[in-house]
Amino acid sequence: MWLSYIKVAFRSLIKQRLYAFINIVGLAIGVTTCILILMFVDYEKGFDRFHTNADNIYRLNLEGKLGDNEFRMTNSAAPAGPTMLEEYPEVISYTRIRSTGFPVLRYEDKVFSEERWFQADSTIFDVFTIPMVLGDPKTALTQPFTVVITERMAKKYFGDVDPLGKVLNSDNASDFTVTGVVKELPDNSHWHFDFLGSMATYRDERNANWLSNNFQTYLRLSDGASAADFEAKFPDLIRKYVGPEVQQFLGVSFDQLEERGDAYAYFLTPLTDIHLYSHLLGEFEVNGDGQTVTIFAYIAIFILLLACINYMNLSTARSMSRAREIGIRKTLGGNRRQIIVQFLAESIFVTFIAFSLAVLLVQIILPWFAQLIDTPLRLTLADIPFILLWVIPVGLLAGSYPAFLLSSFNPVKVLKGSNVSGKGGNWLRNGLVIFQFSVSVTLLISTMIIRDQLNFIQTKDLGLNPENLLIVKKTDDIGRTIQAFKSSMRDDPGAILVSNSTAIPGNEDGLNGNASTMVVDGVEETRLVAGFLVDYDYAEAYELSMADGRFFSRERGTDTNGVIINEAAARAFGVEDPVGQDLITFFRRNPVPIEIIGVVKDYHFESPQKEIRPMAMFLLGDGTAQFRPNWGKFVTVKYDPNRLDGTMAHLETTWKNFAGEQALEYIHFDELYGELYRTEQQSADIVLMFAGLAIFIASLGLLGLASFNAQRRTKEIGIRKVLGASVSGVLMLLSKDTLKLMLISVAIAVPVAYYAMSDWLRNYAYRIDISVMVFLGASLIALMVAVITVAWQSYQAAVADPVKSLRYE
Amino acid sequence: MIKTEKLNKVFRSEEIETTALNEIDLDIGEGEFVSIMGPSGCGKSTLMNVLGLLDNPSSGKFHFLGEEVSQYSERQRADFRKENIGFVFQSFNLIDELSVYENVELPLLYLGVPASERKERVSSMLEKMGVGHRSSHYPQQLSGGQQQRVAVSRALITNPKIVLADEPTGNLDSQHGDEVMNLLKDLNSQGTTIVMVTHSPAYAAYGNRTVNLFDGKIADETLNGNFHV
Repeated sequence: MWLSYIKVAFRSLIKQRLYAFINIVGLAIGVTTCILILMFVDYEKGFDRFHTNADNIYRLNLEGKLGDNEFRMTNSAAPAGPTMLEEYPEVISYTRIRSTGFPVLRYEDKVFSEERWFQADSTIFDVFTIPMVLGDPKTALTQPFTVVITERMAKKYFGDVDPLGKVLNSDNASDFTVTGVVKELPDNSHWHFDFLGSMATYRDERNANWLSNNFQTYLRLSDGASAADFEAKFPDLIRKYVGPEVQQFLGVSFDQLEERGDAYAYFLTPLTDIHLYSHLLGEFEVNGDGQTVTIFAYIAIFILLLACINYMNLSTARSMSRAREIGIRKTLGGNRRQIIVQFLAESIFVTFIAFSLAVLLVQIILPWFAQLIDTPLRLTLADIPFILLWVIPVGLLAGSYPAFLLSSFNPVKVLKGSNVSGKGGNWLRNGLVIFQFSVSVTLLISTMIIRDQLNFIQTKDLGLNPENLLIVKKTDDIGRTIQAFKSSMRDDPGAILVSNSTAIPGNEDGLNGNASTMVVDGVEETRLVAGFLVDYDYAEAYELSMADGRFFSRERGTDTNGVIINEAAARAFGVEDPVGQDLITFFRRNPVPIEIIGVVKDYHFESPQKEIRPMAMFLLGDGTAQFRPNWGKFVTVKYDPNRLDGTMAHLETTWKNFAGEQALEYIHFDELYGELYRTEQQSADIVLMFAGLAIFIASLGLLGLASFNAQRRTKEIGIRKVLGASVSGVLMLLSKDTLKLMLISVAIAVPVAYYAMSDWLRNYAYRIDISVMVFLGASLIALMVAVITVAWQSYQAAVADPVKSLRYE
Repeated sequence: MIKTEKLNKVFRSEEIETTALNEIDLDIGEGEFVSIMGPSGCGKSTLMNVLGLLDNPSSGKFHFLGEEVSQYSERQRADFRKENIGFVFQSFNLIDELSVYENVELPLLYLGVPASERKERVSSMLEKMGVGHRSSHYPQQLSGGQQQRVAVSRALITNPKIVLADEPTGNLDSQHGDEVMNLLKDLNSQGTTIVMVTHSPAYAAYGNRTVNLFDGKIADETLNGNFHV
């Protein structure tokens, strides 16, 4: 019996090749899209799950409020972890991780600047699951000046030689003995390292200060311990340890701090939530976006639904040609259940073909898709049975409506050739098409709004001139010679200005956040102020404007003791005329007053998506100033675009002279800005792709419906034509139905898209107003696609010879 | 074998009520060959549909093999059909996607006959009907007469108690028509009960008895001598 079902299914597919093609291809595209998206969703949701104790690991974070400034960050104080282990039984183990900059490492003749060097407690192997290939995880990081490296680094520095016991020199200053080689953390880890220097090496780990937050602390709790119960103990801990320091440094008791509305608290983030749901200051890497992943998951389901609906519409459209067969089967004793089973089997069969095709398509598209979304997705052989498992539910879903409809045919009527599929199923078929187009139009509107928003933030006035700027990175590696490097660069006629700094616009790297104080009307006000160091030419290179006062000047020797703040900072302190007043800041080891010499007009010193917050610029030391030697990791070159080639060549040689073997890394400032929007751009590209696919799939469905309607109305059209209806009249008649469906779809899609996109736009500090044109545009596109789709079918029906359509009566 | 009493079939649309069968009393004995004649719209096909349990009557009694079947559910009717009734249609009603062999095999599939037995029965039936050499062909590749022989093979494959033939010669030329009629006559002589609708008096005369329908009622019945044209 089953064989007979499959045979008929297969032969009727062969017989109606076009339908079969549309049906299978439509379903395959839907399934392909769905698989791709779900692979992405699965990947994103699977972050950090590879740790054996993943469910019991939490990161300790800090949140608080000082004045108008609220902060939420991943960092915590050095004593937090050890204290918690000691005082709370539910803490089994803790490890602290700290990024200590980018050292230049040397082994014999091999010299590299390394970006993924961290210091970590020896207990890191108790908390995380990091397989050790060589060495003993229990002892590897217990001694000062020991380092654990990844297999890749072992290969890079030592080739095939056993790395254990070898010595890596860091920054020409310290020697680290390799005590372990570990496997690299997989792609789906929220942080990655190449080197773990032992925490015992660093003095700072013994820093007993609870207000200095420089460590990422991870806690492993005992099985069954409740994170919420544990968190409830934090306020007491804070009061006990942070309270006295608040009193000491801020001059108020913790109660007074709370009374004036300020706050200082620890909270936990589950390890497995970090990647998707944690967006705090100081994340190790750019995390994913849980909202995007959820939206994508929904889109995947919708696209699959669209494809299934297509199958339903096309199958019922084909029902005319299958009606007689059903009549015969019923006459010969086939009961309704058997007919239902037959059509479900058929749809499972078709779904199986579509899935097989989809698996192939996924294989082909995956590398490209993985690149587009910048996610290392892989399809393994083991995934395929899991994917094929979905054939049955999808086949049942797609086949359900056709099966129930077709099996309901009255054999007497179908064998007599009467019209079997009357108006009954119409509302359902139309409803399905409306659903498809509502989804498509919603996606289309969303894409347009995303594009508008991206365009808006990309072309928005940043408060600086991003043109003709070249950023040389990691210039701190050339150390004390940086001034010489700068003047050597200035020798090039194409280099208009050369400026070094610890931070550059659009980049959080190099920014410090410090509670700073000003005396306003005799009262001390404390605010969190972002700070970084610049040289004299910084403002000119970026074409920053001053709102008041002046920028740092070479002519005045006193500027090393001055600070420039931005308008946001002046507003935050509530000071009308800040120039000449003192800012007391923790920027240096001890809070000291520094004179405000200028107020720079607000510009986007961080990502343009972020609201401009209070900021202070300090002058970089040139070795003689009282600042600690800090040379800035960025050199900005303002260049003459007509002489760029010469400038680039000059840069290459100059860099070689100063940095030797160390690779030159640079980026054009506008590219850097492009990077900032990469995630958004990717999301926009993906949603656009989905919108296109959704419309394509929906159009296939509409094609099915149009052909169904044309078939159903063949006789009516014949009679109308005999009675004198024109081709255009008939065309209108048939298109009217489609237009009606489209208008309803648009009416549904517009409010849905408006609501969803308003919600999305709230993520942006600077956002567009949604334009009516977007809705009009998207609706028009959908309408046109729909009309073009049905036009051919309608035209065929309209020009058909009426004698032929009436002859069978 | 079949006995109807005051059998009615009324079709209702929104405004009009059409009586297709009006108080039909019909008695068909085992081994009979009954021809049904009448003008278009007199209810012949409706009667066949009711007799074939494709449709339920609106009222009246309908005994089939001693069972009252007039109120059967769709499921019961399907089960009854596949065990007892063979159908032959004017338009053959073969499934285009199935080969000759598979078409004839279909009722056995619905009866759950094991594969080896199916093969044997279908092959011998096709041989007997003279289309054995066509068994792997598809219906569209056969002549009308051959298609109808396949249809008759399919009707007979389950050894039904009765064969209902609705204008079996309607789409055939006279030569093929005669062939099919002789086939039915042979079957009847081997004991199969046959009820046939026809427009042709000559073919009607193949039966033992002709029932004339008019306006949903039995106008008259005539017994046919066993003569052939």
